[in-house]
Amino acid sequence: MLKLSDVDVFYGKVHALKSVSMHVEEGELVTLIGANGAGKSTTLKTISGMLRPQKGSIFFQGERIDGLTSEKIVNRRIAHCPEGRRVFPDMSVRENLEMGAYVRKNKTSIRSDLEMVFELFPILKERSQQDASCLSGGEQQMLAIGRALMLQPLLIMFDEPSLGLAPIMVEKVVEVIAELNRRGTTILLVEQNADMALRLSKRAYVLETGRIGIEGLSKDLLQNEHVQKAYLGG
Amino acid sequence: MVEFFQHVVNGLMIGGIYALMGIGLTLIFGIMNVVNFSHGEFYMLGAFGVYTLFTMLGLPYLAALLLTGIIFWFFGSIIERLILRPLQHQAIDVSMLATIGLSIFLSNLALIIWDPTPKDIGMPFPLIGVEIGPITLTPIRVFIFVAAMLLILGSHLFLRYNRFGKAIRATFQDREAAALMGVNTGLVNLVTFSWGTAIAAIAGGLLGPIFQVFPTMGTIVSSKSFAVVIAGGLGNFPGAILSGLLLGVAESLGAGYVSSGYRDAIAFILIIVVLIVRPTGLLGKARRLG
Repeated sequence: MLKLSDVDVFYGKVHALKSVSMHVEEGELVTLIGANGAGKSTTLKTISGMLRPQKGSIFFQGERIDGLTSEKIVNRRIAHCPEGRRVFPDMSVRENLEMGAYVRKNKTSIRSDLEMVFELFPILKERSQQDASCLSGGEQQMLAIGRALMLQPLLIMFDEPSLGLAPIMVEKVVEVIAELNRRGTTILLVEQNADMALRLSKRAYVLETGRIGIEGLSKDLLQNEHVQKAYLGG
Repeated sequence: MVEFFQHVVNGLMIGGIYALMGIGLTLIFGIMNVVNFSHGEFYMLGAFGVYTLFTMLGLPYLAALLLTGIIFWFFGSIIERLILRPLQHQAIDVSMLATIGLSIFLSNLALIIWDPTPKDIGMPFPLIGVEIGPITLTPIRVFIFVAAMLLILGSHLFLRYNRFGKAIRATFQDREAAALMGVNTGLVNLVTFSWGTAIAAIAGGLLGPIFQVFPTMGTIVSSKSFAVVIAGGLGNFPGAILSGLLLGVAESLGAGYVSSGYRDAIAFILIIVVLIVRPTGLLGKARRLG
């Protein structure tokens, strides 16, 4: 479904991604782990069109998408739930969710997705008229996830959804991601919490200073000595 | 007491114009991160636009005003595309210098086209005052105030309820996240700047019949618009409206009770006081960064 081949990305002179190749198949839950600054967020930003690769190609459903604007990429139903939640602080919860469906036209199906999100996160329904800045960090993460769902995405990319959340909220986020995947949404998950990410996913890639170091089945990576040492605190 | 109310009413009229200038400037800053020093020149050109269309060519005043707005919408689009878009990834002072250069260019261009002698637009409405109780209102002043309020209200409703208006607000609050929703943020810049330019030109066309029209009239209006925007809280839409109206009334009262010589100083006294007492502006919220 999604395929990156030999992607090179630079931030000015910094070589952020070095010949990164990876793929995500339809219905899969794939995770990308790695240390701070390894290039995980850069990878997602490149897929969603916020950064341009200098070399290499990105294909989504057989069509080349690198070099397209983020607007065009969103139109292909790739949702990017960014690091740090990035909800619109002075818009209401409802308006935030509506922004998630910005490129969609069909009003009735938008409304039914709104109900679906409210069902998934009842707290958002309760607070639908409040500004997003009034929500707690965990609630804002729910809102960010709900907003991504409003696109009716074929692929959702989550960037550090557990960052800065209380353990109980992390559990809720994990539950939601697993549930979305069960319902058939393809997911690419970026996490620093490698243990959580590897337990949740089927396959995984490990990014090390801009390169894919290790890849394989998540259950194998959990046993891998290097991964244990570097990312699982073992 | 009657005199006091008369000053307040006159002040609200000028204040409506300041508010119009302020909302354009504040949105352009908030969305594009551009400090637009040519905002006052758009105002001046709008006044000349109405002078040319209404006084010289004899179009009806309303049509001249409307046409001026449309012309300057496109003028703003061209400026955005040719000057501001190529600079959008540069530091803020680069576009600032560009708009300073543009303002010098535009006022000198006006000097060449319309020469430096002040022009009278002439009265589009009868001069007979309408008396409401003890207060006298001339139709032109009522018209200016109502037109300014309608434009502000229209802008507010657009931003609040329209789909693209919401996209503008989203871009204002988080540009990157808005792009991730599929908002064409380049188009948001273009529309915001064109709209701000058109509104400034209409403001000039509205106030033109009351004052004289000349090529350097934009300078002081530019400075006052900045005062309005900063006093209202940078990037704050309701704040700009409130401080615009407040400035108009303060000027009118100051000119009436202290001395009309101080009229233009009041804006800057206001801005100093607001910055000392409330550094984030009248309605500005203190925000934590990060």
